[in-house]
Amino acid sequence: MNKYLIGILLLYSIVFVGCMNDLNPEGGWSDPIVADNDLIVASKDGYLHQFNLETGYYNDIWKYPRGDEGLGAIYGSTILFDDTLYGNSYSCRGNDCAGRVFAVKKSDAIPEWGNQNIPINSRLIGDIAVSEEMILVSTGTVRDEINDSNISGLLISIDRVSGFINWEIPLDGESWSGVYLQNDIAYLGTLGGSIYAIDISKSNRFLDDPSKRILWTYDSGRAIAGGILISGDNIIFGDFGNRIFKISNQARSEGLNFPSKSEWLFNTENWVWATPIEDEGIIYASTLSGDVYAIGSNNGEEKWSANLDSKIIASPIVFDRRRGDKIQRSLAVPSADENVYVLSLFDGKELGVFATESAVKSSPVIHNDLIYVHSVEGKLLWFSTVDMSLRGCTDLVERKPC
Amino acid sequence: MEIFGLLWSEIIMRPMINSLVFLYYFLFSSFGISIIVFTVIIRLLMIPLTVRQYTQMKKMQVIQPRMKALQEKYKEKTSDNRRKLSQETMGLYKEAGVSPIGCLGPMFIQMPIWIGLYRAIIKTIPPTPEGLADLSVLLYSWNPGISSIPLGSVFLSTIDLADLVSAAVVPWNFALPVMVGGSMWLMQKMTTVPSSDPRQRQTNQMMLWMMPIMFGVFTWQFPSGLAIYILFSNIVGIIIQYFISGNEMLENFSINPFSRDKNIKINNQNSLDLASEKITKPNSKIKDGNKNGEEIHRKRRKRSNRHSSSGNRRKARRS
Repeated sequence: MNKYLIGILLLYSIVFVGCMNDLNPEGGWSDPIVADNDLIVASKDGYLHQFNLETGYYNDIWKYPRGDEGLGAIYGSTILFDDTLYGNSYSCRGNDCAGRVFAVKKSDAIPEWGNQNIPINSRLIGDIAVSEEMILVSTGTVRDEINDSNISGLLISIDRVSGFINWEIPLDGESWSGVYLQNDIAYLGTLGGSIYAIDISKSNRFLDDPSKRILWTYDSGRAIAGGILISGDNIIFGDFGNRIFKISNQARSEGLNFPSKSEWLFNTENWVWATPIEDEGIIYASTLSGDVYAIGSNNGEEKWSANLDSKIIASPIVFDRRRGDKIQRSLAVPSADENVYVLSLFDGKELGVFATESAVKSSPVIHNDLIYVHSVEGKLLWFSTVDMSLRGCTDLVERKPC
Repeated sequence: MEIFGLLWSEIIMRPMINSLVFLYYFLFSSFGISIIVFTVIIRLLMIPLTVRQYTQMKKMQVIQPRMKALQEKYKEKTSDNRRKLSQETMGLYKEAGVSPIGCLGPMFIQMPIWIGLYRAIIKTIPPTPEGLADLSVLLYSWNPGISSIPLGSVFLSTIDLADLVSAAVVPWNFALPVMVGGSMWLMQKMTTVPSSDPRQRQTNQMMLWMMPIMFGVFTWQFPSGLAIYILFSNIVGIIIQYFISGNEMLENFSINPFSRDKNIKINNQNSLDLASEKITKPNSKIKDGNKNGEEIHRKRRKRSNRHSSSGNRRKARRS
């Protein structure tokens, strides 16, 4: 009997300890970026890596941070601005989260701001936005140590050169969508279901109260976790109410009822997380149940739809696929079922797959007839866009070819 | 393996997650209340299993003296003795209607439910983007609670149910592990059936302290929502146990005014004596043994009553 009881206790311990993994952020959602002849990718173990596209080799010398401790989970994409890479990451014990905003020279991986990252006591999940003067970061719940309370979410402006915080605006919920810039307006969404348009211009008008920067808000009523596509004077985003919205900055500024003339609402089959993309007047959007839609940007009418039967978290990309003398416009859709699907841009028909053998939660990038894919397992794989064959693979965690 | 994963997801996880979200929608958008109500429902549904477990444990208690006597009889460790001991033990189990792991069987059935609920709570208020994305495929499309996602996780204005207990505000960060450990100790104490076998008593004692301490320590690193679940599961378990075992459970605390503690010891001793006799008569029934035990026990009780009443009479005369 003793043996049975001890067995049960052990089983309990294993199960409970095993389940704790569900509480830890994994990361690996950050899109790789191409800068000059290099590809920069943030791996699952919290490091930025550089990969030379010309030689096809991993750059052993370039790595950030250099120490044994990584940056934590990286979900947002890294932004290259003025030869500096900006990004955010976080690590957590339950809800006790330590976020950080980092800036590092692309040329030599030397950190900016006197070797310091900017700490923010929150989950930092979405993309950051960078302008000439500032870095904009949207946060999850922020622990206010001074008042011993929680703030549901913040938009924080950080001076790009000094790394000091310029101003903060409290939001109606956590913001996982990231910040998207157009001229002097920043857009972001919250899990509370609101879209914010915020004036980020330099002006003394906002000194006493940064909340006056809010130009308008739009309440979709359901959580907005995915990113925002800016298209002219409009923004396009999806929510957890199975909908894709196109809303006009002008119409919202004027306080018109939704939908005004240039706005529309498109119903989907499931929640939308991936940021929609636009190509030649068509919006390509996807859902967490694997639906892909091509929607007319002007009228919100469906051109075609396809179902990949797998979670789609990252945005698709449009690329030219060479077939002999012909060039076929195609859509590469990363999915969580270990494949990047290639769909025809014209009718959504499946043209093939890049078999990644691991879930992909970041958008691929194209360079010289090769498509580079970062899998959540921590591998960088590249395939020929011509014959779709695997051409190479590097394990970013092990730092060696796979 | 994939089929097990599918069954686990479809039969346990999805119904649980959807129930929690459904309850959240109808119970004032409070995830704390939905966890408590859900825990109560689950515990009520598991009453037949709890009763069965208790019955099996009681049966085991009854045959303990005979088991011990058998072990005494075959204490010399020869292969022949071992075989005979095993055979006769199995015969004894069969005779008494006890399954060797009968007491643990219901616990094994309950375990997937507990583990499922544990995972369901974590999955319903996911702290990570991966968790929130996974939730989309776990919810039924007809569930009205979908509109509430992501669920608010603050309970009683101070406890963040998604947050670790260790990170909760004072006093909850200390109170929750203590309450979980305390309630578990109480429940363990109530469900433990007294045993005459020293080894069994030792096991019971180990379980009585080890489980609460272990869970108390674990709770420190659990999300508060899970701690609330374990706490209320224990509380409901204690109430159910009270209704199942009635006054008997109070004997474990030696606080029952109608305590039969002494009687149990006597009864066990008698059973032990009888069991030794029974082993020499393999065809006799346990029931008879119990009857004889009760007979002797009744006689002894009468005798002890007589002693106490004559003592009282003497006292009265002196005064």
